[in-house]
Amino acid sequence: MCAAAQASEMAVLPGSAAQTQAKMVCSRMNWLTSLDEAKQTAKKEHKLIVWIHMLGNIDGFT
Amino acid sequence: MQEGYAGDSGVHPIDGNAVNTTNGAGPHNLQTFVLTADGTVLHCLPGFWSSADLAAELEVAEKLSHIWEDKAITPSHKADLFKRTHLEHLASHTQELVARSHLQGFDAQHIYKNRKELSDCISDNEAISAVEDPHKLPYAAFKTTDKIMHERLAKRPFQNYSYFDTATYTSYGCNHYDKGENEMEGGPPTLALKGKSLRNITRPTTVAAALKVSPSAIPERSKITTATLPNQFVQLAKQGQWPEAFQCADKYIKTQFTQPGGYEMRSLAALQLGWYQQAYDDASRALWLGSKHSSATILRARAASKLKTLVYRNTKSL
Repeated sequence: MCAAAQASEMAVLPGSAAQTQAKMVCSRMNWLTSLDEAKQTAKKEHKLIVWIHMLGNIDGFT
Repeated sequence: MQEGYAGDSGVHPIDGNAVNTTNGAGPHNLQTFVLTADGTVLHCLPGFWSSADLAAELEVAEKLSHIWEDKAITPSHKADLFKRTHLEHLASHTQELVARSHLQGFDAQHIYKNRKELSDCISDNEAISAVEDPHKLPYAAFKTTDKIMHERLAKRPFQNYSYFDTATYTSYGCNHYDKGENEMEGGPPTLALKGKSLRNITRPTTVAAALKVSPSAIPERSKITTATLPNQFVQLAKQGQWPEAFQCADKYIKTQFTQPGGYEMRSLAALQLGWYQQAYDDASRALWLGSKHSSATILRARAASKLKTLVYRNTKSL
């Protein structure tokens, strides 16, 4: 791994900034928790679905 | 989180530090699917990805959506285009992106330990075979995660989300992923969270509903309820009807692909049919998904033994 990759990999985002970004992700995007509902909305609005499996909660512990 | 393939981590509060990582790290902890409105998988990014690289992959998914929706293209041609699109996009990845997509050390260790099952993660088998000290692995002998991702996707053209084998697809890294960012400078006090498991304290948000098929779409003679498939398998096995038992197990897996039971059944049928690699793979998958039955271990060992015998016979004749 080159030095530049090493340097960028270990860059740390402080907790306060991370919390702000997490709040923006949660508040500015209308997340659905039902895939069926997402499919219906996507069909109606002619859009694709970004469906995320994640360990943890997007608005809580991760 | 309730899925067998979901990973684990230490606990990070929302005001905890965040740290950069490589593309594709934490494949069991996070998967980002891009689906069409009918649930067709256009793309799936395992693990964490840099925002710029994620954006480029979303463009690939958008391109594929047009192909999927084009009624003038035949299904077989669509499948071919899906494969070509992913592999051509892979070929266009820059060296910088590839450098951001190298395997984490512990994931490479995991692949090395399971190199038979995860052979598609290795680019140089000779270099891996020559390893004398597992703590000094030749990292250049492993594929980068972007390559693993696109190659695996290319083998799953326009699959429906209900049938997408996420467990196998994300199988290239360790189950536990944690960069230790809580302990870095500037992090919040986390003594109460030390040693805790994320799986134990988080709540499930949703369970994705399976694709609903209307009863009228199922031919009368094929109406087999999920509950009877294991019973049918047992009956077929007792009668020695192993091809039918294999098909029965296959159907069961499609209804419960994140559970180990179907893979155990299919492994047994495959072993009886002399399909030793299939038997070995399915038994391995059952164990990976958390099978607690000794049968999975026994099946795997028997299949491995048969495979070794075959290798001996083949090399003996050379």
